[in-house]
Amino acid sequence: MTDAAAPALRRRPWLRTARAAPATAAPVSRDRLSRRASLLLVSPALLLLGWAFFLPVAALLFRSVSEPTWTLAHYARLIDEPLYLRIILRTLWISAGVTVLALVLGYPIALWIARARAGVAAFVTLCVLIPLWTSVLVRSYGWILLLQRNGIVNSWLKEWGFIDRSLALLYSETTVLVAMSHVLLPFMILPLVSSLKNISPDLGKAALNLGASPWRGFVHVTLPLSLPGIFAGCLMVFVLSLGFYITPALLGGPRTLMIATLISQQATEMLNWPFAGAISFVLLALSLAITFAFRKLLGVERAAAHA
Amino acid sequence: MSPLPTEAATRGVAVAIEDVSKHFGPVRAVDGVTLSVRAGEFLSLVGPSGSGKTTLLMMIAGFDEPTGGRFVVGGRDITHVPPHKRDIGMVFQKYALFPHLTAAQNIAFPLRMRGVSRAERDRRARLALDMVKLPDHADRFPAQLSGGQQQRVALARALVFDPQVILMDEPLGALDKKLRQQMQLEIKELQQRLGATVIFVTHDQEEALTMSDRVAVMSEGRVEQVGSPRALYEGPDSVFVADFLGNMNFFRGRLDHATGEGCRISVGGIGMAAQPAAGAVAQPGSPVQVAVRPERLMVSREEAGTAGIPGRIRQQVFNGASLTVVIDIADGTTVQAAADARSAVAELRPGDRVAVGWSAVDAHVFADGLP
Repeated sequence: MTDAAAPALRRRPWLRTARAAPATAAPVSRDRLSRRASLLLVSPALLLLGWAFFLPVAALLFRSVSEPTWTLAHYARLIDEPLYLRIILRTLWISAGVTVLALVLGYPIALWIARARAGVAAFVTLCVLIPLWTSVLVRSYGWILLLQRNGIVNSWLKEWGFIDRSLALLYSETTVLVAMSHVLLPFMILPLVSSLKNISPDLGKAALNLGASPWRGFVHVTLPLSLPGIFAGCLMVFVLSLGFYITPALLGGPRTLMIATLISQQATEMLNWPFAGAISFVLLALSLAITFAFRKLLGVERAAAHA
Repeated sequence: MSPLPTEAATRGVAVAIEDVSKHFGPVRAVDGVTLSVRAGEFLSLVGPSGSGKTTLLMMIAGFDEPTGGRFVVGGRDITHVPPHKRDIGMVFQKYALFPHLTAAQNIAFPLRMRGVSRAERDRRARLALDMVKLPDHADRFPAQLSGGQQQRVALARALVFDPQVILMDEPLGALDKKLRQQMQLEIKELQQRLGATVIFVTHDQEEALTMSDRVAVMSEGRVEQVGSPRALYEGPDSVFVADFLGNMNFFRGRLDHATGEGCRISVGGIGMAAQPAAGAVAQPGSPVQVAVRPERLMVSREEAGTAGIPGRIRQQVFNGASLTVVIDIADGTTVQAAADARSAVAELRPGDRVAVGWSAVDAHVFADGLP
């Protein structure tokens, strides 16, 4: 384990198994050969990542500061023009909204999966996974079918007499928010389930036995013990939301432009690659910053919760 | 708020278990159990796994609803009271300490749930830690404590809110033998000092005999026999209880005749005196089993005119304080006798012919229902 992780573990030893396990394997002499072998085994993936991901990203970033000459003009433009700043802020707030919505919708389902009998749990897990195996494009078109002017929702509402004229349900921030939450929900539920399953059912019984109502038992025992899952799920959903492309592009329309759509526009329609690179760098920096912030938060959350 | 455990006299209350059943479909996990536990009594439920003892305990705690019957604790029917309002402490098999709370916070948890002020909580948690001899471990997390220390914290947590009854579900199962024996004595001492009513579940009959005021032996969802450890050990009502508690030898024989007090039986044609166990005994002439404890079996070198069942020494095992001899008797049964390591029995060698006998009061006769 690293030196930086050590004090954190002293404060929160219950995280030990989850975090320190990979680091505890002691190096043995025959490990040397297997390490070389394992390096050989991962090298195709590393090469692919290097050539197909890191290199193009680096090239894009390089172009953002080097074209037409060495300049920070593209970044200045991003900050100076209120339109772009608004898109960045909108992306942040929609991502935050999607994260909260997915957490609120996903936690009960995760709890259900973790507590249900094996057969029921397997079925509900399948229900969570099947959408994940379905293309995002298909799921987004599904929302269009539901919400468009002559879509299912509008025609039902009209049939039941709630409305006379079709509502404009598509192309709003709310639509993007709801649809993205739906698409990203499995990424919230799965880490939550795994952390909830790690909590012994005896702990819930112990809380009841010691006088906690089911609700207080949840608040004081289950919820704090599931925090690692909450953080993992929120991080995953938030970071995926930041760069989400298909759903906002299809359901958001031009008035709810998000960063990823903006990058695509600049690169493929405007052919302004340096500016697309600058926006990409901002997106990358945001994602990394948020990831580190979450990790930090996971580190201190405990001390605050039970001080 | 009632006073701290260490400050109180007798606080345990009586528990009545009245005709309680728990059926899972056709399976009768608990089948019409009636038991009364006196205030301040230490009662063990003992039995093989699947005998219903843990199911019964979980129903008393309120984690499971009985199919029939009721529980009365301190005069109050709690059968349908939710578990968090029962005021019953419980020590779980795997301790069930909250991993995100320190020892002191774990112990203070039931007080916190009862709205006790922070200062009072701290004071009482500290006293409870002193009580279980862990005054310096208040700020440790469960993962930083040894098994025995976790056990003590779990015990303190179950005691600190001054519950009416304390339930323990095989609390010592995970400890090694030495620590286990030490904790047995400590729990017993604490229970007596506090006057707590304890219902203790274990599959370890020795533990039940050591710790309990009374023991209830369970089998297949029913209570086979209840009594003091001594009464059960020396006067089992059934072959099951005789076999389950301690070591027991069984001889196959035939009932010759029975009177009110004792009876005559024959084992391999040798007539012996014995006493019928409580409950119905077989008709004269029917097959019986005779149960005799190893330490009550009398073994002597077979000489002309020696009374007793003939046998041959198979093996002799020295185990410190005592000596065990393994004897094959004529009908193929193998029995064990325990004797003082310095007695004449020590002179016997494998292959020696011996005669085995007993005092009538030590031999319990049961109808032989087995094939």
